[in-house]
Amino acid sequence: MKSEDREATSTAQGSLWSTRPILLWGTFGTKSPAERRYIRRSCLAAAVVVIWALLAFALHFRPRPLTISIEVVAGVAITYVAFEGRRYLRQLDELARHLQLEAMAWTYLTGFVLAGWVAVLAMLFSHAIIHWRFSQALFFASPFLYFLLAPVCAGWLYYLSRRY
Amino acid sequence: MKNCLRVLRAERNLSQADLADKLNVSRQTVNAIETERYDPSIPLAFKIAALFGRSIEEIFSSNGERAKK
Repeated sequence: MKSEDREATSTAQGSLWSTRPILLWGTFGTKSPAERRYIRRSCLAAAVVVIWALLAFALHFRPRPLTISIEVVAGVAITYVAFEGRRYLRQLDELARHLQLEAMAWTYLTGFVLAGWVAVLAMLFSHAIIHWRFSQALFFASPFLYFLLAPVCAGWLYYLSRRY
Repeated sequence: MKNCLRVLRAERNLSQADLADKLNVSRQTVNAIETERYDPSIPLAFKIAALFGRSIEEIFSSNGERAKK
């Protein structure tokens, strides 16, 4: 097939961006060194947090410094992922960067709306479900909510990339 | 924004991938510009103009007027 025909076909079929890497990793699947490095290092950071948390869980969150260290490790890991994300964004070409930033903006707004609704529900049902231990658990889990936003961002990226 | 990028590319017998390589962008970006779904940044528009030896106005125009060929 000639390259022109191939281009016409791919345009007619819809988006040129691959679906799988977008939904799986939140990247475009170009297999560039920057993308590979970002995925590898982000996974490594997430794995360290999960292993650390599992270790603390296995030890029933004792001793206390171990519990505190989970929050510190999660904070450092999230900062590191954000730093790597910035490096990855700088390597992208302008359309890909535009899409990534738009997806991040929509993710921010989605998180903002969800947080608002969680606050409303918490207010409404505070007598039924919120007590001190639950609040403590929620506070403890809050850094991990960052990782929950990753699939939301991937979803937005997928949706936005269908335009091109 | 309208453009005649596809015509200029065809005149030089370049594929989208070839043009993308020359402009240091992805093929998706070239395709999006050609299909007028994405307006390039000013630096990229200058790069495209320089590559084809035309002015930006000759390649890109607002929706109201056709790009000059």
